[in-house]
Amino acid sequence: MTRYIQRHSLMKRVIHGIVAVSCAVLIVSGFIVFVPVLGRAAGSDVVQVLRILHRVFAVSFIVAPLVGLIFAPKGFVHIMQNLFAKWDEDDKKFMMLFPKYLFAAKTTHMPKQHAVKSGQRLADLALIAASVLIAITGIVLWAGQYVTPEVFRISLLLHDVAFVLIAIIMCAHLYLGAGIFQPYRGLHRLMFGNGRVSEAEARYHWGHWAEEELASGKNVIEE
Amino acid sequence: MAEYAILYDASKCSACKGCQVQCKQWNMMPSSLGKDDNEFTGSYQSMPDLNGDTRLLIEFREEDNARGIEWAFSRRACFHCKEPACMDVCPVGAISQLPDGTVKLDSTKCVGCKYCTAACPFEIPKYRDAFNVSNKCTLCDDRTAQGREPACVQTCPAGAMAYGPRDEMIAAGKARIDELKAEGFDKAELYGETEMGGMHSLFVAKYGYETHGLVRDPKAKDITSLMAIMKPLTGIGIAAVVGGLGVSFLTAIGYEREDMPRGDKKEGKQ
Ligand code: SF4
Ligand code: SF4
Repeated sequence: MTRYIQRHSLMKRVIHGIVAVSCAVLIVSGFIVFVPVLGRAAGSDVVQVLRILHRVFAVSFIVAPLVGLIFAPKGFVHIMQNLFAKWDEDDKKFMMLFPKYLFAAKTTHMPKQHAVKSGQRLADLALIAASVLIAITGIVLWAGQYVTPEVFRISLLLHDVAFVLIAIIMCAHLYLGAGIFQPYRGLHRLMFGNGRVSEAEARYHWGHWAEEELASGKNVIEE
Repeated sequence: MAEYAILYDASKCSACKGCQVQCKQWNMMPSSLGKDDNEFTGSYQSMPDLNGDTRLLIEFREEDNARGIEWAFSRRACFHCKEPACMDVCPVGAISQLPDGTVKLDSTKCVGCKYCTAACPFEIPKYRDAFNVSNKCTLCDDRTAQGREPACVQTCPAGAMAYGPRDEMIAAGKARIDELKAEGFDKAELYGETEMGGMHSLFVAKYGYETHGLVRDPKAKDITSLMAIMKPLTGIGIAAVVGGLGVSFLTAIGYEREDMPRGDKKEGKQ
C-alpha cells in the first residue's frame, strides 16, 4: 500500500491545462509574427489565421485563471500565500544549491522544501508578472485602432519583452515540470494526471510540506 | 530604372484640396458624408489627420506675424522613403519598394497589425477598419506603370505638384528654394532630399520645416530599433537556456534517487 497526497485539485489542473495549451498556441503563433522572416515565408493568409488563433487562445489564457479566481478565491489566496511565503534557511540553501543540482544532480543533496520550492516561487512570480503584462499589452494591441501610435508602440515593445521572459521561463518550466530532468521524472502527473504525489516523491521534493500534510492527514489517500 | 519622385511646392499650393479629392476618387476611398462626421479642426483643414479612407490631406497652419496672417499649407501623405521603416517591420512583407522608389502597401497581403504605423516616424499608414488593413499612398503605382502621373499631381490646378525623375525634381526644388530666399523667405528649405535615406515625395517648405509640421531629421522610432535588437537577443537567450538545460539533462542521465525508502525506489526513478 502506498500513501499519496492530493497536491492539486481538479480545478487547478483543468485551469493549468487550459492555460498550458493556450500558452503553447500563443507562443507558436506569436513567434511567427514576432520574426518577420517566418511570417513572410508563411504568407499573409497563414499569418492572418494565426493572428485569429492568437486572439482566440488569448481569451482562454486570460479568462481561465480569472474563472478560477472567481470560483475558488480561497485557492487563489492559497497560491499567493505560498508564493509570498517567507524564505527560511532551507529555502536560501535550496536556491544556492540549485545551479549545482542542475548540473550535478547525482552528487547534490537538496534541503527540504515547503509547498512551493523557493526557486519555483521566483520563477512563478516572474511568470505571473510577465503573463499579466503580456495580457494587458495584448488587449491594448487588440484595441490598436483606438489608441495612439505611441501607446501602441510602447505596448508592442512591452508585449515583446514579456514574450521573451515567458519563452525563456517556459523552457525551464517544461524541463523541470514535465520531468525531462531525471530527478523530476513523473512530476507531469501532478498537473496532467490525477494531481496526487506519492509519499516518497513528496518527501523528496517538498520535505517540510510532506511532513505537514502527512501529519494532518487531510489530503492523504492510501491505495 | 530611374528613381521617380513627386515635388510638392507649398509656396504655390492654394490649398484647394483638389489633390485630396482626386486621390480619393482614383483610389476609390469614400468620404464620410454624415453631418459633423469630421471633427472640427479650427481651420479650413478637412479632418485632423489622415485616416483609413484618406491617404492625402492638405493641412492648414496659421501664423500671425509681421506680414499679417500667413498660411503654411502642407501636403501630408507617405514620403516613400528610401529606407522605409514601415517595410522593415511588416511581419508579412505586405510593404515593398518598387524599382522607381515607390513604397507600396499591398492591401491584399496586409493583415492589419498596425506595426507599420508604429514604426513610421510620421505615423502615415492608417488602419482601415472596414477592410482590416492599413492604408497609405501608393504613389499611384497603377498609373505610373502606364506612364501617367499620380492622380494628385495631374489634378493640381495651381501647378504646385510635379512628378518626374527624382534628380530633376530635386534640382527643381532647390531652384525654387533659391527663388523663395531671394524673395525674402529665408527659412525656405527642401524636405526629402536626404531624410530617411532620400524620399520620393519632396516638399518645398516655404516657411521652413517646423512651420509646415515636417519632422526635422526623422528616424525610425527608437522602439522599433529596440525591437529589432530584441529578436536576435531572444534567440540567443532561448538557445542559451535550452543549451544549458541540455547539458543538465546529459549530466543527470542515469540519476538514481538514493534517499528513497525501499519499495518507492522504482517509482522515483521512472
Ligand atoms: S513615410 Fe512612413 S509609411 Fe511612407 S515610406 Fe516612409 S516610413 Fe513608410
Ligand atoms: S498593418 Fe499591414 S502593411 Fe502594416 S505592418 Fe501590418 S501587415 Fe504590414
